[in-house]
Amino acid sequence: MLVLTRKEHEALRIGADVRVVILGVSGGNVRIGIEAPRELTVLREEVHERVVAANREAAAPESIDLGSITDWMSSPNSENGKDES
Amino acid sequence: MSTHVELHHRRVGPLRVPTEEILEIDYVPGFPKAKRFVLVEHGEGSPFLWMACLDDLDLVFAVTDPHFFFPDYDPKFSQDDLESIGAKSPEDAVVLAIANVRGPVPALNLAAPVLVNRDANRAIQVLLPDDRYSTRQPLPQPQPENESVTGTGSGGPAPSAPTTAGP
Repeated sequence: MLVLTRKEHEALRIGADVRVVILGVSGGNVRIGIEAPRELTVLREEVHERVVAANREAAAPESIDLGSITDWMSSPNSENGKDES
Repeated sequence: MSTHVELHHRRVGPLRVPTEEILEIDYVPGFPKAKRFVLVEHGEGSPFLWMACLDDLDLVFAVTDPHFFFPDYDPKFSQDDLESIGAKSPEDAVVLAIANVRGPVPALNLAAPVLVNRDANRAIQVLLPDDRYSTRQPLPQPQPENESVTGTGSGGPAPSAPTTAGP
């Protein structure tokens, strides 16, 4: 991993198109500005990882058993999610 | 004259897909090589569709119109999201949610919906930046039809599945 030290308001560039600016540092938080072509998706890593996990799970064979889902939809009295008033 | 792609998807079965119905998706997190998908009806009356990958014949998602289950679902898409699929406004796009039926209660991924522009056949999985929605939102319990207590669902539209790649 390349390690660089930057001060507030200093920037770095990744390739020709991406510019990363350190906007501010306070209380353990670093505010970062990113200028990048819009075709590059920029995400918080934890958001990305959550969706990776969700997608992988959703693609697993037992996750796409739509036979069971249609059974579930037609059985209003299944054990979960009861909200009788 | 339209040309077709014929292949045997190992999870969905034989497919004959008009080339103009192939969806191009830039990036599906977790499946970086999956770029081309096709929407296939799951079955008559089913609110679900298969979103079958043409680059990986073992990969398929079950998707649905999230508004069918969650009428109040209101994801905010950015102009960039829309432009990336060639849509000028949200009305040009169809929203789908990936289903996950593993476990006792089926769930939808409302945090990362798939936005589809059927005219351009381009799609994007949008990772919503806010925390309003879950990647695993359990489906509401279906209500018996003769017991319509709440008004939320009544009079709502049918599970308007987007135009599908029929045979």
